[in-house]
Amino acid sequence: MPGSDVNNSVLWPLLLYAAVVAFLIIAILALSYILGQHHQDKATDQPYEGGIEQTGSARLRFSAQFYLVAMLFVIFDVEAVFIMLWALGFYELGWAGYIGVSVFIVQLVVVLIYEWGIGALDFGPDEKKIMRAYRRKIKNQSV
Amino acid sequence: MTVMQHVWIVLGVLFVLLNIGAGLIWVERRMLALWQDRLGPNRAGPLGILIVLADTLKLFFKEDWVPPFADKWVFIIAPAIVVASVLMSFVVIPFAPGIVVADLNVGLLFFLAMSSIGVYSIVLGGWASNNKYALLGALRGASQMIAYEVFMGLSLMGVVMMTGSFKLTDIVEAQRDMWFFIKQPIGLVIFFIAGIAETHRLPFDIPEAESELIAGYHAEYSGMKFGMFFIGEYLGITLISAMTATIFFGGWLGPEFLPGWVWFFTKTFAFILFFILLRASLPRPRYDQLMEYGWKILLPLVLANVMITGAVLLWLKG
Amino acid sequence: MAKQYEIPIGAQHISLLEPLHFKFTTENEKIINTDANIFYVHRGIEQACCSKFKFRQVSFVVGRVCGLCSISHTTAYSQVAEKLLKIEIPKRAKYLRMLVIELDRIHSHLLCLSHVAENSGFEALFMKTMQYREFAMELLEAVCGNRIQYDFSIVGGVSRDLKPQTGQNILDRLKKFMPQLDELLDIFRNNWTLSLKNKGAGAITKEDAMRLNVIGPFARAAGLPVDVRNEAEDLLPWKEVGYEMITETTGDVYARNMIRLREMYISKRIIENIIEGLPESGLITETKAFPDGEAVVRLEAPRGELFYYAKGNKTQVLERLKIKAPTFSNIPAMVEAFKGNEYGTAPAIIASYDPCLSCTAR
Repeated sequence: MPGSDVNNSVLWPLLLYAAVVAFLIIAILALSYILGQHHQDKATDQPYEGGIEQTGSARLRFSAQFYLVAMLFVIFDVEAVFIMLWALGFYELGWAGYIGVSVFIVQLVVVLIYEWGIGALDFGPDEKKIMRAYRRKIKNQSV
Repeated sequence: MTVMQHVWIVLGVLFVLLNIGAGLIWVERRMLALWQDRLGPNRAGPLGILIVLADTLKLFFKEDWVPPFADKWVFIIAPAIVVASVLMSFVVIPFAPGIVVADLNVGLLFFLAMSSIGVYSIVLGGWASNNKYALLGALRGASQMIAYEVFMGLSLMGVVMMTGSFKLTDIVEAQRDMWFFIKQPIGLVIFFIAGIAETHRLPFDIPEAESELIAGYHAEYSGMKFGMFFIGEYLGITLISAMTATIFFGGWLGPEFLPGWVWFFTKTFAFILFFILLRASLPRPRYDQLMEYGWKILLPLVLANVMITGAVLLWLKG
Repeated sequence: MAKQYEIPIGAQHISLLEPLHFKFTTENEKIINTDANIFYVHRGIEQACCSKFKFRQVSFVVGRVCGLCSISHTTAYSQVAEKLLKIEIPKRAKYLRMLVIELDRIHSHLLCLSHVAENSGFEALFMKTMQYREFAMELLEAVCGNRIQYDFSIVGGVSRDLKPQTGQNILDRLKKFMPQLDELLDIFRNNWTLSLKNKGAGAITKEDAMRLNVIGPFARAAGLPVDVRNEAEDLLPWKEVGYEMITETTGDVYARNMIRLREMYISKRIIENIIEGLPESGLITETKAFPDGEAVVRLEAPRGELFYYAKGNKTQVLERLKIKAPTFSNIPAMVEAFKGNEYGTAPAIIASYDPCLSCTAR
């Protein structure tokens, strides 16, 4: 039935399905809790770090690059939403809509080029910078 | 349709999916072995198929360990999220005419939303484990998945334009004359690449990165909780394969001599095998290479695809 | 939360064959400092060789030092014992020793390459390389009677003769192996993802290599021409059978792969020359003497220079035996070469060092 805008499908199977899925997951977790063994040894409660004792906490300060990725995602995914809406009403909007979305996508591309230019897309930190800073630090310590 | 029919569809879909998810353990290992000149599991049962049963039972009886240093509830919920989100995505997929759990008119968006929720399982699992390898794996996985999420959504826009609907049955019906992969080859390729990245399968299995991060975000998981990540991954393959078959290869459509669901599953399995073939043949790139590839090549390409498709369609129409 | 954090690899880690432990100090997943801890598998072999075993038995004991370069250890020990006994072994025995060492080198290099592939995330290539390696193991079994741990060299000569039929078999199999080796060379050289991962990773300069006393393929990859086979030692006549030095310049993982692959071509040539020009003579020089005095022997094992020192005191049992394995010399350079690399490339770098900790810790 192409073109039928009215949602004429029944929705309650979706809820039933979700309930069954939830039940299955709880059942699996409960079953494995009941069936699985439990033991307590000297090193049971230590995190795995290659067979040696833990060095420092795992609550690390991680690269700011990941934050940038999240920002990029927000920018592009929110804009993708607009493109999706346009795609839905594509034929009704015609050339006018096309020109509108072109302007929008060109803006996106400009953002992309700008981010490329400032190095937001160069993933992984700059190795030379870090090594230089590290050497300086070592030198300062030894002085 | 009667109420009972709906109930049977719900239960049937879940039953089939869980069996596929578990059965893929065997399929993948046998096919990998075939492609790499090995034997693979061949002892338990005919052709070793009972390895599935053995593996599942073993996982159930393994120690169900919640690390004392972990955030207990988050740790338990994370694997549940991955299985739930992938299973929920199947709701909108039409397996055959009439056999669909809920034919939502926002089907495609529902699928995208559910696969985004899958990211949470990785982040939460990795963070809650309180383990360095797990955290690093989780961060990489999260950034990889949300990046490819963008391309995945945009790559489907060409199809949406042609169909004018997010409803998957409409998309399938619109392919009566010609399957969409002919009209949207770039969309197909990008969707599939993004799908591999979404399911974090080799060659894009950076969050797991066996050799450097041991098992990545599920390093501290054991027993059936690990098994749920595992099943989630296999169901993810099935999901992406089924979506590719539905959106680009005409879903249940095919010559009349076979019923629709046979065509659907044949196409889906072809893509599952392709996933496994990729694993058997390609190396894993580095994390930063993968991300740069995504943002610098796939994103411009997918935007160009949207623009060109729109222009051509409007030009053809008027 | 510290800005820098430590990520350990090992002693139990999926990408490590051997129990060694690296502790990486990283900043944003970039390695800026490394610490290594290696002696996890001390087995007391040197002490056992000097107390429990008679000097003729020791060659079988040192064969157990390492699973991969077993023949290098037995040969090096046999040579040092022969120096102490002041005997010259028959020429045929020398040739056969070289033959087995070169076959062993092929098998060891293929193992190392396969692990580089695996640790770079290329599972298919790992399987392929391991599959191709099988022929070397089978040939070693045909020659020595064992797939690994071949007690082929004994004090005074070798324990088995090479039948003409086996020699012909080796030549046939080598001929079949050559296209496979070409294929591997092509993949390692041209595969896009693999070379992206391997080029520039774990690089070490020639000056650093010299300063840190690097040996073996590691040094040759950095452009340092270090190979015991190239030196004029009369114990094994390498140059007679067509040995040639191979060096690369870049000193990264890629260069090390190339060194290993190209050395296999040389090994193949050496093996062919040996089988074709195998001199007729006895296999063993008998003597009733006891080891006396001190001697050292250097031998090029697949991983680099193997060094044996022995001291005898005219009794059945040696007074002192000292083994220095190639990995031990390379450890300072290993630690150095990590710096500035992504943590993600560390496993491939470790594999490309081809560390043999069982040799090192004995």
